[in-house]
Amino acid sequence: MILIYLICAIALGATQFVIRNRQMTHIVAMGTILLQWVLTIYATLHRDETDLFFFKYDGLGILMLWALAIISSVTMLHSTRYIPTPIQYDLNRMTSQYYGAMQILMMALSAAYLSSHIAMTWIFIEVTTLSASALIFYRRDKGSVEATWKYVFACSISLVLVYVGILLITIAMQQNAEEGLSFATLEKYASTMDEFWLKMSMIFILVGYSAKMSLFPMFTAGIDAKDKAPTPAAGLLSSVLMNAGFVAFYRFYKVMQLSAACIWARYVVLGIAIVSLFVAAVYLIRVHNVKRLFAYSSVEHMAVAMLGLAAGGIGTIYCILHVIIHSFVKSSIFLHIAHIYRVYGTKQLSNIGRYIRYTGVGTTIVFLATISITAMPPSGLFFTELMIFKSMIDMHWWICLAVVLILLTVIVWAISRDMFSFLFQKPEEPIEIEPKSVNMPYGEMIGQLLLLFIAIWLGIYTPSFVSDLIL
Amino acid sequence: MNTILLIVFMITLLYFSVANRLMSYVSILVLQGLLVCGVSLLSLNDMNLVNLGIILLETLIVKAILMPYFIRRVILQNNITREAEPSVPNSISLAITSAIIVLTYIATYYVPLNERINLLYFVTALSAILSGLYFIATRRKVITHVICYVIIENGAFILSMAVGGEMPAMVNLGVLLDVLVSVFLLVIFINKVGDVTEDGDVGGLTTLKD
Repeated sequence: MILIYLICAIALGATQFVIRNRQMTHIVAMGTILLQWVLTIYATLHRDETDLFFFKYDGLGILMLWALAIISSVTMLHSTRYIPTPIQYDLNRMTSQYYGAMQILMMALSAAYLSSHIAMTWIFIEVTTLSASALIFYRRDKGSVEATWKYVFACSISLVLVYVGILLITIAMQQNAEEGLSFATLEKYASTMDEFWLKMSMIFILVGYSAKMSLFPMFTAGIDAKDKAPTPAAGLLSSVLMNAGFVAFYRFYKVMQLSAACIWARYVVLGIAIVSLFVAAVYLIRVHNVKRLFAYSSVEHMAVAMLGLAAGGIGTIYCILHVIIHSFVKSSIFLHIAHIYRVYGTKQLSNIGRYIRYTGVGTTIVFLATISITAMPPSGLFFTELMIFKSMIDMHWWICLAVVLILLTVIVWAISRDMFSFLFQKPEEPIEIEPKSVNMPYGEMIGQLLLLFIAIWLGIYTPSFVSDLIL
Repeated sequence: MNTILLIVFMITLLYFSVANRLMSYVSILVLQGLLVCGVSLLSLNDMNLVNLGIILLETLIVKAILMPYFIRRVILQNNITREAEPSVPNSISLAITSAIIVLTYIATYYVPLNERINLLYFVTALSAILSGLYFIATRRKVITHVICYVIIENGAFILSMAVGGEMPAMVNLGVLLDVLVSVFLLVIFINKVGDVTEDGDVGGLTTLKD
């Protein structure tokens, strides 16, 4: 099935790049969504089966596929209405390139989620860089060129580091390296691997994938990318693309947990998580742009997920759930930023305010998203964070927990300050042009509310289907 | 013979740290590509024809010919100033690059190298990767960043040789993909960077901040 999927996805992507008719582009985009759902349902029905040697429909992969299918469907529907086109460029050409890049990105993400081989995962993560850069480059202005350049460069360097990490694993495996580098083989020989080289390998892989996961030290490229990409694409970059980095690292981390370096690995992940939280807190205090605000919030949430991973036990389970719920919330709010831009014509926090005057539904969505993203009840993230903290308590990481809670308090304060003043207060520096009260299309409204509803529902009542996939 | 090639490779890193002109950088890339090609052909004695083809494509065609050619063309087309204009004096760069090589060499005596790793390969690879990162940090032009990226890639490639030439085919293909991505993305994209910045100076790409 995966081979058919890959062929169809490449064919659809290529068709998109060739088509110069906007209507046809949208029809082919519907084909993209359909293909994604077919793969997701097939994977669910064939759980734990191996396909094409290097792919396995395991629980984590299926869960990520569901998130991708839902989020990408909503994103594609949004994209049909929201595609900003600078007048100097050909609308049809830009639309087809946008959808073509989107299709390739979705294909690479699906393959990365399902890959059961460390090198194959790396290759598809590399393809995501290529397709994501085409999306970031969409507007072709100075800002998007800069963001694309930084993203491509940082991701390329990061992926070389991951490659070095993979090579170091072969050293760590010693003579067993000849059996291949599938995750199953790595797990099989984890206990006999050379500890020093495995540790070195983890450092390279963690630093490398930190660019995709939006974690310290390579988080900066992702921030600019999310800021400059068209909002539907930014929604994908800050949700399902981050998930791909997470899956890639998580699968390797499972190997580390079976090795002699498991305790060391925990503390490295814990350290990276706390530093990332600190970075997010510092930047969120001084951020001036609504897109960048939510981009830094992604750094925070991935750091919280890493805390769960480091703590282990129930922390690992809730770490995965946290990543999934975060994807729904973050994609919803990024999609809504398109509407904020329609109303104000700017993303600068100092220029926007009193949103409640212009749209009631929009205010409800932003309010719900703010509640969700700051992990206040009934947000699903509240429950996952609570369980992650519990797992830290189980590990007796009291000092770390105190530091984390202080940093999270700062983050919650910073986000709430900016978002609630945006909703209810006058802007500090109002723009000269009066904001327009634009009606929100029903399709967009339903899509964004649906994503937020899923995020809340998954936290309050995690269905057995989801818990079964995580476990 | 391999030892000589690897030592010459390390000398190219030192030369890079003091070179002033972009065309010198391009020449260094050509030389490094040839050296990497020589090292890989001598290291992988018993490889099959497919692997040999991939290695040749990776090293000789892409690293020694295509990449330097594209970079040279970009420099000429965009009228980029031929001076490298590093932000750190060359003498300091030379000292730091030398220190990277020496420290890497000393450090490898303290790590548990097994029979699968060749010490000199490992030192050369790590020196190239670390020096490449240092060069990126101290050069301002976008085009020099691309050149430094290729140096890092060369280092990663030598590291793959260091593990004993028994690299799985998938990883080998990965390197090829990596190189192709760097050609298609970095080199082609840099033309667009040239459109929006004067003189291909990465200093112009600093508008995105908080």
